[in-house]
Amino acid sequence: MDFSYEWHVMTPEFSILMTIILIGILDVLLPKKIDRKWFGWLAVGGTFLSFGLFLTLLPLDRTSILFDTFIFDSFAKGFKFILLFGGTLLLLLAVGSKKEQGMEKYEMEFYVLLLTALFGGMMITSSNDLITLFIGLELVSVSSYVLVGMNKWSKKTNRAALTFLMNGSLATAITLFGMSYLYGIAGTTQLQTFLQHFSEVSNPATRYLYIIGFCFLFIGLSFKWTTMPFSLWAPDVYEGAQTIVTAFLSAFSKIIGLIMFFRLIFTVFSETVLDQHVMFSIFQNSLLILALLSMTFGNMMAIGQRNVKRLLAYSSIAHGGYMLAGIASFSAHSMEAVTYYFLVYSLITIGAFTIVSYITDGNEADEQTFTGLFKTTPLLAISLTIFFISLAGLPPTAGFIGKWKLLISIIDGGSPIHYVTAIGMIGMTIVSYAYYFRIMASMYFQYPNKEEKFSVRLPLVILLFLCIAVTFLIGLLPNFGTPTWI
Amino acid sequence: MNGEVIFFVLFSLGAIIGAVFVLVFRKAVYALLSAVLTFVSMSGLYILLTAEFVAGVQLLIYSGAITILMLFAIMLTKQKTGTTRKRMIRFQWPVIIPIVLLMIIIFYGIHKVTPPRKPVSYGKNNTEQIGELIFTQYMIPFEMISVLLLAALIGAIILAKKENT
Repeated sequence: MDFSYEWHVMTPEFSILMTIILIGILDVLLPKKIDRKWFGWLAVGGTFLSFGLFLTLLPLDRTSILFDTFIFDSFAKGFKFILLFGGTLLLLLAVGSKKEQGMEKYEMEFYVLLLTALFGGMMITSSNDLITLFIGLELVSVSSYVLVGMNKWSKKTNRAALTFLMNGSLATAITLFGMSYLYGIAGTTQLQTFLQHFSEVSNPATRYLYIIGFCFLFIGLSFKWTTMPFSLWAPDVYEGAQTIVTAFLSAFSKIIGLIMFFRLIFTVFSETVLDQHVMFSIFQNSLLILALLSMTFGNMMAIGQRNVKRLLAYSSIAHGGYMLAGIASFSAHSMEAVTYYFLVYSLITIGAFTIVSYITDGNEADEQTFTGLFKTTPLLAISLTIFFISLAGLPPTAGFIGKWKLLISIIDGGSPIHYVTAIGMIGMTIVSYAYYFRIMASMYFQYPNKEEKFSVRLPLVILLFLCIAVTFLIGLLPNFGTPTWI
Repeated sequence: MNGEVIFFVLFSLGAIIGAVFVLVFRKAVYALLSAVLTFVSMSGLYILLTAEFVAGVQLLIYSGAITILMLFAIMLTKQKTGTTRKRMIRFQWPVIIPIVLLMIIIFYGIHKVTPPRKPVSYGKNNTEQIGELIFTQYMIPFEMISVLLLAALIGAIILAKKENT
């Protein structure tokens, strides 16, 4: 057996891991009086290092180590880029925003958990094996359970954490059940071998079991990315958690669930198999219907919400619907469109939550807080407007191009149900204007309840500048957003 | 009907009955003890499949460690003996319909499948083979589990730590 593996393709992950260990050890060794706040900068430094190492790896072709349990291919490149970018922004947000009461003691734990989640997500993007996929998913889930429940003094947070833990572990069990079926039939956990087995199956009974397995897998995973029938936990959890954690949940862990599913679909139903199987078209149609349902549900429910975090939670259910439709369309453009949309979505969600966390400062995110924001702090009002316009999908921003690409890829699918989904998407986008513009109107045309200036914090300014700049850059020059290495 | 079938029936009945009793019993300790019945029967099933390592792990971890841990949790927390049961049941019974449907769907799938007959060498150094696989082919997931445990450990410390505020 040849034991010389190309370990250097794992260096981005290793540097994240080293940062985790370093922060943990420093927290034990340093005296009590030293401020733990700069651990955040250390974590940001770790992600920068990882990002740099990742950029040096880009010229590599498809590299795999240890029997495909870790691969570095175009898929991994594209999504690792998004995850690292989003992770860095999230860490900046965590450094800059004020923690809730009593959370100052847990600086180290907070950053370590964010980094472990990032690590899990990066492993998911580049794994070609069911076991690695599952453990990566669990890593993200366990980190996010703890992150949600960290503020244990608040009753609301405790309820949110318990809801999240119950739903999440149920989802994990269902996912694993589906995986056990797939493993039981194919006799392997490697996705490549799995694909071969899958394309050779002729026995209808075996195929039936495959469908059962995939259904369970899909149901379990759709808890994680919160699309329609399995998304009812999301608003409570998003509202109860701290704003930074809400940003993490809606921009990061949601995308990771989708990436995992995309990896499975991308490998197992690759184009050679696609034409021969009726099964996939049945599966695809039900996915599109679910996507349509969650667009409708998310946008309709968001209209009535007065709490901005809750509103953004419903809007993220709707966005999950858009992205799922993009994945399920499975046309020639879907890879490009979905990658672009993931990037844009995580960017603008983190941006919007940055401002929410800025303004609410650990208090309730009621819509009242936003009235007359333009009169007190015009800069924040304008940036929030840019993010909302981008979320709503209007031109010069990246959100428009993202929706456009998704629509093209859905229409490209070509069957009636694809057209219905595309029309539904356009309709629901128009519905979503109702609540985005309501908040914007109250920001610009009403007088503030109390005169209050918001102080400027350096990390948040950097973060906002980055988000806005990239939103406009890839909105005006879309080719920057679809990296050529994919 | 040979011995294997008899033991299979016994163990699977034990597992199912234990699982049902977990739901039926209202007292937490009784429910836990019936969970132990399920765990032990499942480890019996593993032995029938000549997976003695998995059976041992199942016994040690599930019926040993986890049960004791949960007994401690029950002992150290206050038990509420509420009477919410009647209200719950009224809302619960429609759940039967999807459960039965799901059972029919899955059963229909399973009973038609004939598993592919591949020559498999059972019972030859199982433990050794598992060890070899874990530390060669599945080394990356194995290492990832240690990170997972780290995250879970940190979480447990945060949530369980007593504050003097």
